Amino acid sequence: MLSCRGVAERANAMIDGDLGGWEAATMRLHLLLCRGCARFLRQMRATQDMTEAVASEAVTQPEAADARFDALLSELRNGKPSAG
Amino acid sequence: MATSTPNDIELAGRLAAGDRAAFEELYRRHNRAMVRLATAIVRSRDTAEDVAQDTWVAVLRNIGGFQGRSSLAAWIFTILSNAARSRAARDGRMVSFDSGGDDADDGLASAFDGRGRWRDLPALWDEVTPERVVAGRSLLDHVNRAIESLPPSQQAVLLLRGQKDLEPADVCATLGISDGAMRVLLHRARLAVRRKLDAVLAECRL
Ligand SMILES: [Zn+2]
Repeated sequence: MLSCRGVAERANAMIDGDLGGWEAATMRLHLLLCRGCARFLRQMRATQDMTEAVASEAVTQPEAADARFDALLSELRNGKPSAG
Repeated sequence: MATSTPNDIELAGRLAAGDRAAFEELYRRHNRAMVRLATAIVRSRDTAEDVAQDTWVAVLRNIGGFQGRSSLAAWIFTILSNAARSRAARDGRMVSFDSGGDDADDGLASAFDGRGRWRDLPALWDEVTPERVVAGRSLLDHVNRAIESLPPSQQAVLLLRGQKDLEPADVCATLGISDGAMRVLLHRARLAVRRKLDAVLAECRL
């Protein structure tokens, strides 16, 4: 039988879909029966959603134009190996 | 590990030919995350922007050697993380991505009794949305700050795992760590962010 501590330790693996079928089913059973773990898993899912939002917000730069970008463009022009 | 897609090879080819649009696309896609990752390692935004710029210069100089054994994103982030670590080393700090997971307590142990049951029932997180304002900031902003206070290795894993262009194996390769080490770091990082959020939310329940 999985302890609450065991559930907490596997929470991230569960959220990431890394648990095998048997282990995932054991987790789901425990979560149905245990209010504390159900709450903890909800907390971890909310945390994961927001950390991912922060991490992926960092992905796209709305516009590339800044001084550093312009400097890099001149590098692109000067340094291109296949000039001509 | 995700190998390069035809799109990667094509982008790399255009970049090698000096194509501005190809460069702009890559820059927009990755520069912000690169600066953020570098900031976690060198601990200064200005220095991090220098490191990102140096990385782009290295990318432009070496793109002809990109052979597509990894994805283009993984190739770029690997150059960046090595450059950032060299820079930190020059400033007298060794940043290892292999630590920050094993030594630190994950903060969970004290939450359980000897039989592995909760000592205190975890709080019910009601209405936990990114936009909700608690203690003068949105919860998303609290999360952002919590991430910034993590050890570099944990920040790096969280940030890279959030990149759509990187598979988990790319994250390991970029940081030079094992899959197991990456999982431990990710676990610790998320638990630490959860703990901070829980503290923020507890304060507003008082
Ligand atoms: Zn439980």
